[in-house]
Amino acid sequence: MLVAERAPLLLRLLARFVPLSRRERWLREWHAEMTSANGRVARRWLDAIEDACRLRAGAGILAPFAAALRGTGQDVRYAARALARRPSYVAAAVLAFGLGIGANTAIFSVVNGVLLHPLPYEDPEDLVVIWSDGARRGLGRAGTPPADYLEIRDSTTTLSGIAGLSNNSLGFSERDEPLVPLTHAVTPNFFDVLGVDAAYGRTFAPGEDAADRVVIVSHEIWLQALEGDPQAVGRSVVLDDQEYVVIGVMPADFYITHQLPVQPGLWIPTTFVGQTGNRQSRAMLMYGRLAEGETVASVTEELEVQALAREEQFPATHTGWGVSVVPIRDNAVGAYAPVLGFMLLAVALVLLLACANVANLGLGQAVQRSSEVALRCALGAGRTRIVRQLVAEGVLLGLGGAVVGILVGALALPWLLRMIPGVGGGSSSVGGAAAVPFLDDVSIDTTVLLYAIGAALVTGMLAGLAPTRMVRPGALESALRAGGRNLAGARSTVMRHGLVVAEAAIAVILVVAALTTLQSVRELSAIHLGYDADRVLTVRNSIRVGMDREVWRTHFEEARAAITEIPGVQTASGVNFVPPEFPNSTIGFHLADEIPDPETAQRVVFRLVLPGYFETMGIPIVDGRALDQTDEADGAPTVVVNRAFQERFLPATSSLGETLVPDTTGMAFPMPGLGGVSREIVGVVGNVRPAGQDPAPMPIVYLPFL
Amino acid sequence: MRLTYATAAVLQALDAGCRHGFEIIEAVGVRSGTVYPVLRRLEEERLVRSRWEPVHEARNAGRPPRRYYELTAAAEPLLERARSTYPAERHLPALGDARG
Repeated sequence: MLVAERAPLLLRLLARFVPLSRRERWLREWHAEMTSANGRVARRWLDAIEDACRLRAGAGILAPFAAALRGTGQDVRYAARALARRPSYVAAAVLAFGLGIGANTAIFSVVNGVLLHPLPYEDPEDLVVIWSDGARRGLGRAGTPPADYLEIRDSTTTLSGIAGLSNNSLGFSERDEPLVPLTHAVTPNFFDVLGVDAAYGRTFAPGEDAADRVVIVSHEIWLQALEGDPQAVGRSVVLDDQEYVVIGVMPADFYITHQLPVQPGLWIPTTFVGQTGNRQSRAMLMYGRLAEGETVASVTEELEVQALAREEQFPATHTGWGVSVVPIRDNAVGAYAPVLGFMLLAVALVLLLACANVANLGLGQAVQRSSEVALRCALGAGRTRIVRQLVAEGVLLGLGGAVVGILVGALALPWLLRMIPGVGGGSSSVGGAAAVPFLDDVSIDTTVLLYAIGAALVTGMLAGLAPTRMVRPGALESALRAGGRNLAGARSTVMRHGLVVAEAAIAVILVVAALTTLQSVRELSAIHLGYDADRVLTVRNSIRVGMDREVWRTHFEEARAAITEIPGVQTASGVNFVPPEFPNSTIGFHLADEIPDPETAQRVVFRLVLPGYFETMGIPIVDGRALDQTDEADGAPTVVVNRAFQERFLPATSSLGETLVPDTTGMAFPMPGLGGVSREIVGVVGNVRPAGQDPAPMPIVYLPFL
Repeated sequence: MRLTYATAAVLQALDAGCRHGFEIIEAVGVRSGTVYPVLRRLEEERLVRSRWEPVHEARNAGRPPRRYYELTAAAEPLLERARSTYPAERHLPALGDARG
């Protein structure tokens, strides 16, 4: 009925095949025939397709395919009856397919949920994230100095829009319950470049800046801090003791891709106009939209030329900094593509193995069924018909396997997800840095079901094709003469042997891949990370930049004391970024015997630590001592460096007793008391490996937090 | 005109009272991809003529107008040859249903 209702449109499309001179009559005739076709609608359609193909000059070649579809129903019915007579074969084949398809369903669910996760932007394939690439300096990726951003914004021809975003620690001041937003300062065009509008209110207007005290909140913040009030736009919230007016609420599915898993967010505007001279800070990330006809390669080319020019113009701050333009999807989930792709390949091989198994079983059956097939041939069944029926049997087995496989996949999925770090957000744990995003959204949806059914159809057909070799010309007559004993003869034996060899080969590949993976895991666990993460728990805490240092001191000392009091806790400490998180927030410095010059100052990754940090994290003291209570603001200014720092900057001497002067110029949030003071190196600690593909130890200075 | 099995079957189905495409297909058990080209060829040779069902009749029946085929007098010699070469009782198993 449904097909009949759609008939006119589908028929009109089909009629395009028919030469113009005959089209009108053809359409009328077939419309009438379809409408009066009582039942057997599918067959009518096949008739119409075949007729249209025959009338079309050059398309006649398609007619046999349309004709081949005819009788499919009969093939399927016959195949079902044939299978019903062999329940143990069916059970074995369906189980083999089921396990293969189950593994594929589970893994593809993760691929579908993570790699193919919809991005909440307009034409996301045109969006890129632009990083500074510090590979030539032995550093990773970093943001772009605001001055560079302003120049690129005004000069680019390959991007139709370019926006900037930088971290900001703005948070709620007057709340009884903790709510830690991830706050970003963004250029007013940020949401326009992404092509996203606010769910309530508006996004930023051109020229809006931090001084306007306006804020856009995420859906989560809207629910938690503004009680989901539809009239929230225009309301005031207090952030760091300042009143801000909420001008927009973003849609529930909106998130930014450079910091996953998704967290509650606040956005304030910034124009960076006051920073036309800021070439040091690399805390701002650029998002761009490709201009019409441009590609990632052309943007990279344009920006690389500019980067080279800046290297010459500003050698102190730009030497060794290149450009890395990354499509936004790769930026969000690209890191997981290789491992998920590898897993998908592995389970595809398992399915191929299952397919070969079923094909082999089918060949075994073929020996028993040779007389049945020979008899059917003798009664007039064509070779094609027999082949089609055998393929239909394979497809039915595959579909049976799909049902079992989807069940297996549904059962295996929660177990699989538990093994992947990242479920539940993970923003408050060390694992948060390496957590796979969107795992909460992974499910067996329509796409996954289609994939499972598609895999079942293809593998079922392949398995069904194997026994069709016995229906070759000549074999049938000889089979009849020999009473069917001859049918699955030498050829079939060769094929069975071939299949066994293929199965063994795939199994060997899988075993080798599994062993290699195990070996990698062993090697990885043998790598000393530089700290002992066993039995270390972490909790995230946010402080306000504007707060008084005495308040911080009291807060963290109290927190540390309270945590230490918990039974079972040996030591407690704090740090601004817990390994293996390694944001490239750097600080300038010069050694005491160097002439201070912000332009030529070396830059180095820094960590702010509470007393007891190295002991708690199990980072070994190589020389000297750790930072302790005496190193707080009251004591003489001190600093601890790591071994990589010593090897790079003070290779000839023991670092102990040397002094260095941190320079906070260009830091996003220069902390009072940190910079401009000579600090004595009182200790050297072991290196800590950062996360990433090239975890080479970086020079680090550890500064007392309080 | 060359008398194939399909042509003979279509001629006999028309003679037996089948009038439109599917009726003929159902009656002769030959694929539509064969039947329609045969009908077209017979019409070009003026052995068959077609007419469209009046719109009001089709409307009363709740469907679009059908195209009806019938044999012309010129088809008689060929029909005779068809009857003798391919006897209907062997080749038109569903003819009784089509008439009903």
